[in-house]
Amino acid sequence: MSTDAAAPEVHADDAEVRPLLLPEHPARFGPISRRLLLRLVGALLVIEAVGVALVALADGHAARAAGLSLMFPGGGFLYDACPVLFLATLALSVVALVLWWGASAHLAIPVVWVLGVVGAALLADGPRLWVDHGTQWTWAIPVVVVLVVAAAAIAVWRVERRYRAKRALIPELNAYLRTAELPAPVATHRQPDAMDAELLRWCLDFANQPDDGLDGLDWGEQFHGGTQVRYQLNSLAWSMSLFAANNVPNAQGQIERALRAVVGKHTDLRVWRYWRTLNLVGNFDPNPDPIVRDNIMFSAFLADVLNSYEAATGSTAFDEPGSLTFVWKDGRTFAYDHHSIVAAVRHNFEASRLGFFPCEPGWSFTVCNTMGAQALRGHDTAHGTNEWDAVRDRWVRTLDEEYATPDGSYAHIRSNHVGLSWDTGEVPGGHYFANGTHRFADILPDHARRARALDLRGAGPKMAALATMVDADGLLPLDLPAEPERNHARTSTLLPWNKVIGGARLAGEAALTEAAIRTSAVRCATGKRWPERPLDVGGAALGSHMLLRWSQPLDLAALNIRGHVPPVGPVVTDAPWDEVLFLSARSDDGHALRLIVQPRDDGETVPLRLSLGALLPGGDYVLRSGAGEWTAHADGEGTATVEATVTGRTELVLERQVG
Amino acid sequence: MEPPTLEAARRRLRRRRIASIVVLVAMDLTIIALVRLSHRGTHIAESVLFPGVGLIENHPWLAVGFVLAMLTATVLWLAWGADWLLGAIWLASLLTTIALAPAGHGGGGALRGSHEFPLVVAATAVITWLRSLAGRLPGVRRLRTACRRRQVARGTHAVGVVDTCRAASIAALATSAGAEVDVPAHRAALAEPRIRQRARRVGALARWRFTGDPLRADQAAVRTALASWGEPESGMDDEASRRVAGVVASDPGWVRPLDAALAAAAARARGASTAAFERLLVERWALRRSHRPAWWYEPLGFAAGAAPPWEHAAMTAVCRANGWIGDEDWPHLRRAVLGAAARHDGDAHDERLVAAGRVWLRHVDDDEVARIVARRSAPTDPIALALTQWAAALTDGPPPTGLDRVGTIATGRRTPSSGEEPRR
Repeated sequence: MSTDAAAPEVHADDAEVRPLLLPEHPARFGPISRRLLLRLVGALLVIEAVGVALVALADGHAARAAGLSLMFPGGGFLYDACPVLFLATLALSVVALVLWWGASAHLAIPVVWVLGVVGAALLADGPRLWVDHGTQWTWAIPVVVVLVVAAAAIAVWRVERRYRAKRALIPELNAYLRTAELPAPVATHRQPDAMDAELLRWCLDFANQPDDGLDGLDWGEQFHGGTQVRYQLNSLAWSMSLFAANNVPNAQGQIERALRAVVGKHTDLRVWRYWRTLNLVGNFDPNPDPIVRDNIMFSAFLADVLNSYEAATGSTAFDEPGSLTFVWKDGRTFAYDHHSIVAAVRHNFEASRLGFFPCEPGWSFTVCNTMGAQALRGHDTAHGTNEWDAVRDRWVRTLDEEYATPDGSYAHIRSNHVGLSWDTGEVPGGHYFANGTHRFADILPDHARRARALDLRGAGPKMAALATMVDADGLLPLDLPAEPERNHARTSTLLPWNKVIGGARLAGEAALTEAAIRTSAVRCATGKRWPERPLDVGGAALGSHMLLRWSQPLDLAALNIRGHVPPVGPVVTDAPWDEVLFLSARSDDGHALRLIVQPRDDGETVPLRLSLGALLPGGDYVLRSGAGEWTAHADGEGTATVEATVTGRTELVLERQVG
Repeated sequence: MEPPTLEAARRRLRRRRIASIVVLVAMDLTIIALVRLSHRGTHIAESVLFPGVGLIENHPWLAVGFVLAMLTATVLWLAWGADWLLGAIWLASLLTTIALAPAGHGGGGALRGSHEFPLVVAATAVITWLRSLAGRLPGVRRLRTACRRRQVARGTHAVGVVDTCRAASIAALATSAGAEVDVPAHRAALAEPRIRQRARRVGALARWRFTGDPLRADQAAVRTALASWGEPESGMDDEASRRVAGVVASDPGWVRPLDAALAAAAARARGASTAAFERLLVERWALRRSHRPAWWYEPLGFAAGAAPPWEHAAMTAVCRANGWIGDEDWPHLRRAVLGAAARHDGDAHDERLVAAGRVWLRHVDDDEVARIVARRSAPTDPIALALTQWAAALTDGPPPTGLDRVGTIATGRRTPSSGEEPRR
């Protein structure tokens, strides 16, 4: 391994600057959330007041039943001596709650509530199942009142208990943050191994299938279930960008072509057609355009993918107007490019009252809005714009005031309509210290350092203990049990290894990181190739694994900060890209070009005709491998061609012959 | 100046139309007279208006039988051109009603009957519409396409005779444009016994042609394919010259757009005249409200319906490649082509629409559609595959033959001459 001089500056800062401290007296809710919650509480109080008035003042069973159902969904059915309908209303309320979150069906709960009111009123003097016609259970009135009070009390108590518990941690956490030492990040270049070759082969095979092919990905529902094709494509594109930037900066013909194909697959209707349903149900808007409104989980992620692609390859293919055209199934087209997608993200940020804008209509997630911020930041790097600066202050205010909790973690989700936040079950506890693929490192370095320190408070000692277990062969003798994937459709043995690798990298444990990567390849290899997977893992986690493998020395945040930097030293401008895998092509010293290549098909010997550029004009060069030497003479423009042969994995060095 | 045979065909058609009107008027007068003369006449009038209805009161099962027979005959007429069957059932129902209808009780039945017929027509239209609507429903469509995908994957998907022949005809066009197609497969498909079996079945049912060559008349799809792949044209040009449409019928009485266009293209390749067909395109098959008609009913000479988008696109692509029409269809087709290219549900019609779009893109300059269509992988449907091969050959090869003509075609727009730069 070699230490990389181009290690990202954000990493260099980590060890020197103290992490941000937590506020001593945090508010329970931010100003906008408080206003939204007060509006919700006000509306509920009005409903309760009407309900109480109907029960207490109105004459007649129907009014009383309706009033009780207003006070508590389906409460009137209990008064009507229809307990089954009461339970059915409660069950429907739970379904409506799930639909509210899962499909942005904002009217689901009000509809169930109103149905309960109308039904109870209609049944007030009607037939009964097990009791006499027109029976009323007057004891239901105090029961409903108790239910209302209990529900309100439980909600307040849960919020308050959690707030107080977190607030109590502040002194201890600040004390820790004042003294916490952030380890230096793992910033060495990994030599690609056999599993890297298999993973690269998989990526290339995936990308080189027909443009409308998505074979190799997991399929399932596209809303929340962890089988979303969009995220699988995102993670593939990010990991391939990292491979391009870290492993083959001096020979990008192969990976750039594949990356372009993967980015293009984002326009496939199957990737984004879920949005029309969500937009229709949640916004009452039939427009299927996946970029223009909300849907930050698609627009911002895609913009971030474009940033990574441009930063890794320098290509401006997706800056061209209409280069990303989405076609709806009736033939309507929505033409976008890198700039217009970023412009839409910024517009949505500016138009949002909360400051964060929704993924699914009405629900704004911290992780997705962090991706949105990254998208603006990366575009600024690539194109010299100031999109991120324009929204930064308001964005940070939203993060710190509306989403932050006293212990430094952030709520995963908040409703744009009613200000509520809850644990959706998608992340442990519904909170995290940092998220997004860059964990704030590029957009808010201070926040990133604090989040890293807080994460390390728990993970650091565990990783240090694991590091002592690395054996003499550089492996980690651990048997980690398979874990269920997020889609719950399968379990994967690679998932726990991803956690170890991620934790080790966070803790700066270079040896542990490498050992975990190597051991995971041994334990989880399947021996299969595309469209099967070479590792025992689902589609989304395969992308995460490649991200972890190929994040050295540059990770995605560092790439977003750095932007595109042309490679130093000789470059390969053309090669038999379809016959040979380019695993490494780097010139660390700016003079010698070191290549690691292997034939695409096993056991073959293939001719390797390299077109070279950025050579010293008129210079004599020699390409050496263990099997022989080949010479080349650079012309006046610094280009040359050299022909070699490759059998199996081959390391080659191109150097200028002196004297 | 029209060829004498075409002029004669048009005269015959005029005479048939006049005769039809006379028969209709006579029928109306007869119905009125029957109603006025007797109660039995009322029942007869009901059965004249719709076979079997006059028997409902006294012989309901017989009435139901006639109604079902009439519906079946209608289907056979629409599918295979068995028009005599309709007439036979109508006549049988009329005679049965004359024999069995009661002699007297209250009147007003004819009035009822006269309302029932439009109701039956309306009901048929509604059923047809519902069937087409059901076919477009996401679940039904998904089920149908999933079934097709499974069959294609297992290699058990059976392509119908007509589509097999259409694919072969298009493949022949592709071959003449320089494409490499699976010649043995097409020849083998055309040599299958089922090709002639269908023609014999249709000929027997629709025109009582029980003996002789089943391909001696009509059967545009089969005969065009066979002629395109080197079989003798077996009097097709002669037969076409006697038809107002200028091409032989797909099935007795019916001329369908793609069959007609392919037959005309093949005729042109043989050096035969296509003037009548070109005139049909302008006069009867013109673009109206974004559509081209779905069929031409030869005996009475009228065109109606709206061709499905894929057939519209494929037919006009053939016509455009031959220079018989201009680019006026493309603005109406491009959105359908884009939609089909975006959908990935394995629907054969979508594949054909995209493939026809590829042929169109050889002639129109539309980068946006070209980019989107280029993302679709090779189709599995044989017609779509042949169209794709043809389009590829047009792209790589010389301009299509139709582009070397100068003329005022269809809407009066001028197509490029050989000296002009093709649009793509």
